[in-house]
Amino acid sequence: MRRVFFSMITFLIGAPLLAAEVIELTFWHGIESPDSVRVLEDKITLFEKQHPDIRIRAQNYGAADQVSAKIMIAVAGRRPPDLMWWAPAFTGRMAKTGKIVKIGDLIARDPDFDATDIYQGLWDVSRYQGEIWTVPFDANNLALYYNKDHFAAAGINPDELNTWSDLLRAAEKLTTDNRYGFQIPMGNNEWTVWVWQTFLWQADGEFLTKENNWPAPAFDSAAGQAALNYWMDFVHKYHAANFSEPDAGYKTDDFVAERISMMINGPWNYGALKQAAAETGLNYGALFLPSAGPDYAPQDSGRRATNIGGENLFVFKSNPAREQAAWEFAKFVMSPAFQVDWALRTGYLPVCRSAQQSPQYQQFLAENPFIKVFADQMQYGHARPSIPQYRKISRLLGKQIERALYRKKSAADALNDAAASSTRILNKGRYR
Amino acid sequence: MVKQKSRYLSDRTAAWFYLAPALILLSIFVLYPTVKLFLTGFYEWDGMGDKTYIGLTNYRFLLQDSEFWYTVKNSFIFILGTVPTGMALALVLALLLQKKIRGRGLFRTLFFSPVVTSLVAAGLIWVWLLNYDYGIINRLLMQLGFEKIPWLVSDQYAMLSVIMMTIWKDAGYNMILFLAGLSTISSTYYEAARIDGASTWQSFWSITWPLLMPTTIFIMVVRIIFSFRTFEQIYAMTKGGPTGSTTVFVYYIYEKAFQGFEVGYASAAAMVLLVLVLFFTGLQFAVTRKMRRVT
Repeated sequence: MRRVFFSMITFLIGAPLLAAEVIELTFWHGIESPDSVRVLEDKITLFEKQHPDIRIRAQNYGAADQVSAKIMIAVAGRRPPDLMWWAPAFTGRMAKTGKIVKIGDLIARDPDFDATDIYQGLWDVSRYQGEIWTVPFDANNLALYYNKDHFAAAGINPDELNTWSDLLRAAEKLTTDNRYGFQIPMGNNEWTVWVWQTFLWQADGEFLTKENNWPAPAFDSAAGQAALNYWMDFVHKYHAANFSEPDAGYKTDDFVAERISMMINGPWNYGALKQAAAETGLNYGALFLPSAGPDYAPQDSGRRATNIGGENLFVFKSNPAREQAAWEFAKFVMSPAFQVDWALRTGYLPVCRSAQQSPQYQQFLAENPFIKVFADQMQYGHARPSIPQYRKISRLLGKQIERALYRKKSAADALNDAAASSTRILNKGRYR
Repeated sequence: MVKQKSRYLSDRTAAWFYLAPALILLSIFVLYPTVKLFLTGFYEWDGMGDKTYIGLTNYRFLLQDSEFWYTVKNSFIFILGTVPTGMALALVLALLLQKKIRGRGLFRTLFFSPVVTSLVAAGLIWVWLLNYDYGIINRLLMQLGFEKIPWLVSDQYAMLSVIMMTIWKDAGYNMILFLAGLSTISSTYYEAARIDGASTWQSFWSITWPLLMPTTIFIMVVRIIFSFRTFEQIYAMTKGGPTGSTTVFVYYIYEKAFQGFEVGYASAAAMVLLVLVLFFTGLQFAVTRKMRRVT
């Protein structure tokens, strides 16, 4: 009797101690679509089953434009999350603060992990000063949405839309009294810059160069001017496109309501578009982004380009046990099992080759030609530089692009001014 | 003698004791952040990593920062646009609702209701009202045979839109202050004026206006100070755009600190704002003191 009593006491005291060994990780994310959040929750449940000693507490951080303020406050309050889902463009910034774990170190300590399965381009955007600091979570890129019914009515063959001139001519044909053929993103936020960069690359331009191993702006080139002038002329000269609402170029409202026939956007709207197709009969498709073509790029190489986006996982410094647990979750996310399901159910593109090549995903692509366009276009993916100054430069450039679109400045002046300020930012500390 | 001194001391202790709650709160939430802000202004800091002491460099860059001066200009446009017009509207409302008209309570409540509405919520409502294609305001303009106005999407109208919304939002509050001011004016003056045959206009200019002056000045100074601190409606309605045309002081500070990770620089800008607001507060003290001496 006594022994039973004591063992009960031991159990009562011991059980919470055992339970305390479970590591609870906080995971901040900004996944908006409720469907995708449900997928994530399923996956977290699966992960917790596989790792009974780890719990993942997923929390939505809300609007994306608020995240930097929230994380700053969390770090200042010494309560940052363990894991965070955020744009890889912040890799350099966060690495520089010294508050996140250098993933390269974790990879080095983990011989079983095969980093080569992840696309090289995605690792590139996860680097700061040559070393890997963050982990690719999901990928996407930009393609041209088009309204199939409008194309058919205007007699346009979507397969013949290969250059900027093709795009402009198509848009002119598609424009009617209550509809525009195309939409140019207005505003100075990252979206505008992100989309604009694809045009810069298509015209054989580059965003930054490295001279003497030091980054310098390169977007103020003839290619940059061609890209910006093309946008301005589209609206002001040919009246074949409207501007999006300011800082809301990513919104699909106009496309779904058929007020525009084409726009540039990503694969993540797939669910919403399918719903619109069911409800209003929207007949949509996606095309590769065009190349500049001989009319706009004198030494036209027919270069195709899209901009790689997506999100990365940031692991915040805590203690070795928690960081290791976070790494386990990161590996789980990068695994083909997660990536295939995630891609199938959310429309994001997988980050690893094994997922891309899996029969299940290939079959999905065969059945979903819309997503296949984005997946196939990944080979033309360029990425934004992950240097700490990127955000500042992008904001400066965004403001100048906006000024040019409002015709406050010529394209050349706008780009030159943005380049001059960017040079100042990049040269800070150069001669120290 | 000795006894008196100890009593004096205990009075002092009691005073501190009574002041303590306010002092502690002020120290934690006002004094400490202000000192911290002042110090941060001398550093280059991204808000998370290490700070680098750079002396007055932030202030030097601030003086050369054309974007910053553009922001200052915008703030003054905003103040000039909201304060005089908003006060005039509030005074008219107060004068109307001071009279014993039918439904006075209802109108007072209606005009005051925007004040108790959250600024962000009100801002979002105005975004809908001012929407280019579907907004009620543009619909009305079209019904009346006017052209649609690109309220929030054009850099010529965006500031006007924010000013309109702010006047609407604050009118009720200023109205209540004016009503309070009006109620302190003794009715005997008006009775005397009426006996002397003064018109309504005359009695307004000779009685109401001068006697209401302390209230007017108070409202003006408070409004100027508050206008310098405008942020929420800008955030909700225009995010400082288009082309920065509605980026006012505090929005600029917010953008620098929390979007650009330039916390040191933003702190320096915030110090400039503090000095400006202190200047206007000092002006208020000086004016009210002078007026007290006159009366």
